[in-house]
Amino acid sequence: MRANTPLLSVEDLSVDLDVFRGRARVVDRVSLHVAEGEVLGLVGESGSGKSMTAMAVLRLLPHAASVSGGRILLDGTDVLTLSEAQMRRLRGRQVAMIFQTSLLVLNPLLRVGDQIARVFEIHLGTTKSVAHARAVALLDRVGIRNPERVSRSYPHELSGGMVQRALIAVMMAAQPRLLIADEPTTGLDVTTEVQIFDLLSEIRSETNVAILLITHDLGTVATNADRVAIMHAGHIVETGPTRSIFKQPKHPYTRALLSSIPRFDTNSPADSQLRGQAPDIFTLRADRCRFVDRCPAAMEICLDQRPPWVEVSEGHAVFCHLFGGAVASTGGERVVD
Amino acid sequence: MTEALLQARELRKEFALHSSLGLGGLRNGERPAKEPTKLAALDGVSLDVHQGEAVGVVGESGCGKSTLAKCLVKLVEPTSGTIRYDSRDVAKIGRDELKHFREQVQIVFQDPAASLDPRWRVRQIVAEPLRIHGLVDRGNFQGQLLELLKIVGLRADHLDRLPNELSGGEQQRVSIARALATRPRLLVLDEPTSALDASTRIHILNLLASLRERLRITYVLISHDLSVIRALCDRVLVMYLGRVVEVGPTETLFDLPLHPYTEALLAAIPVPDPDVLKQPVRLRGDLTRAPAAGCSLAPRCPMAEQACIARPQKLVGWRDGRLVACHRISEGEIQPVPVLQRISGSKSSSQEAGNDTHARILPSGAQPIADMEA
Repeated sequence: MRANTPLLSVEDLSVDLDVFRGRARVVDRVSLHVAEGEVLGLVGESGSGKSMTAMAVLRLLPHAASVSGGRILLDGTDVLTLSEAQMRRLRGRQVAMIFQTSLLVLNPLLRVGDQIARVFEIHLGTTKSVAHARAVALLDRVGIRNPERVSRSYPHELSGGMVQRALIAVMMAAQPRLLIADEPTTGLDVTTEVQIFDLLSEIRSETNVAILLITHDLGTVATNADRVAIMHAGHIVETGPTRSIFKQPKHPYTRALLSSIPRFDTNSPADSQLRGQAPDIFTLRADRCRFVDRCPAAMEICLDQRPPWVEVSEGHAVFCHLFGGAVASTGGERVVD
Repeated sequence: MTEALLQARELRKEFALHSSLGLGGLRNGERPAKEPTKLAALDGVSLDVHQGEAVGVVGESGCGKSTLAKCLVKLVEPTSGTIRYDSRDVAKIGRDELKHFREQVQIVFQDPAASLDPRWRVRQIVAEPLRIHGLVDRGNFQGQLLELLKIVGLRADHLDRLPNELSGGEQQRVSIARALATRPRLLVLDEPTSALDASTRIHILNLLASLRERLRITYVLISHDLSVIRALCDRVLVMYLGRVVEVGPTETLFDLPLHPYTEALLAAIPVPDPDVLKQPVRLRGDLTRAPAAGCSLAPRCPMAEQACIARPQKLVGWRDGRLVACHRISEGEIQPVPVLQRISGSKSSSQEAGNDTHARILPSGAQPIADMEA
């Protein structure tokens, strides 16, 4: 067990978005932690705030968004208090990120090998020739055949899977301790996707890098994450060990989400209990459950009180009135299943 | 058995590649060839679809499944090979007959937003096929349209909306209503749920399943998503690089795949259940064009041998009636193993989520790999 303080600890983080429609709290008092060498899967539908949370960690939020509360501790240091210069040293070195749109991340005018070599030059101060040799070695390491030739290729000459491998090589160049992977395989074919996840898990066991895996795909999370946090409309609604979340989901949203996935490995038809669409984040009131309009088990209290965090088993907590807390103390019915 | 409703034989479709772009592009200093490079999107595909059947075609991007869909509905003419619909040669269908063919064979495309005219209201979109094919019921046109909307689960107030006033799921329902307007016998569905998000996808799947039952339509369903195929199809064709590598009943094929590609595909798809363990079957590298003579999977296949590169693989019948294109089958080496297994003893008693209590299909005597979790 990894008992000591987590590598990344996000505490009560809130992010506000200011656009012409008004101001919306797209991340509302979110807490999560990732231990050294751990994979945390952050799951949610589009617009649930999962990418905003990740961008806040890197302090790369878009201009319209700003952190309005909370702390983000990376190895004990609050990244929100760092200067931009300090942040630049931290990005890449301590925390790296891979994106869904990796082709847009690479510079189309520079050879792939040169882009990887730059990381060594900037972060580790190596000379050009050493950096290039290390870049080729890294391409080889991420399973690219003919790495010398690929290092001299331009990004458009590579397939989607190769680009993602190259990106992973770039990100791992400075040996960061935390890797944020935002939908790293969306848009890739499944046989390529599984290779990318094999690679990430190899790298993790070699370097003990922690991974924050952001995805909308519950299958990916079931296969690759140690722990899961489920996000809905800016709230984390449930968090726990992967097995526990999949086998004993508590939050009505998690349950509905799990029930609505069609499965190819069974004959049972999926039966969607997920009603309606994600709420319009601009119309949400602050202190109430944000799932209430779609919830089959909604109660009066859900409309005007912020749900409590209830620990249902070790490390498995749920953000819902159904499981006690305020309900129990006011004499409401306590539902235990 | 009577002749199939739709019968495709040895379909081949070649596309000319621009010599300096795309696949087979030029290396440094290489000069463009006089003859443009040809890419065979379909390389000898045969398929039978019987009346009332739902046949799935599954494969990854670039395997030719959408080209196949377009050939079947005569939107693309195959380079060679024949398609027979209801005993008539589709290639020889003339102008007057084409209208009749279109009435009977319809298609639903992947992206509903792109396949609906943004300036037409739902009313016009659904009415168009009725007008073209002279199916308008003069006395009760409104009722006719409402009936179509009702079939796909839309309401009267959707009639006067524009496509951008509909959600993705509603747009796809309109596409389906339009395809159903002529009361087709055969419906080709090209990735009907791929552009939709998870919560909408399941509703469209359920709609397609119920339509099949109610209207007795024959389906050809193209998808890269095996769960969609499993939910709807009786039989499935697995395609790789323009060729069919395996054909069989959906359940048998998913539970005990024979072809290495089918195995790798099944092993690659993440299952939202941490208790399902998979054989670590992996393909090597990325999609690459195969040596012309050999098996198209050979460069990536974990079991490839010299023989695979040397000679092409024909579909051969296996003992349960499935067809497989792999040389190991003619050698009699294939011993199918389930790709997915459930950890035994992990079925918790009362704590299971409600939807997870059904038995999983496991062949008797299958040994779960219990220590893989450690």
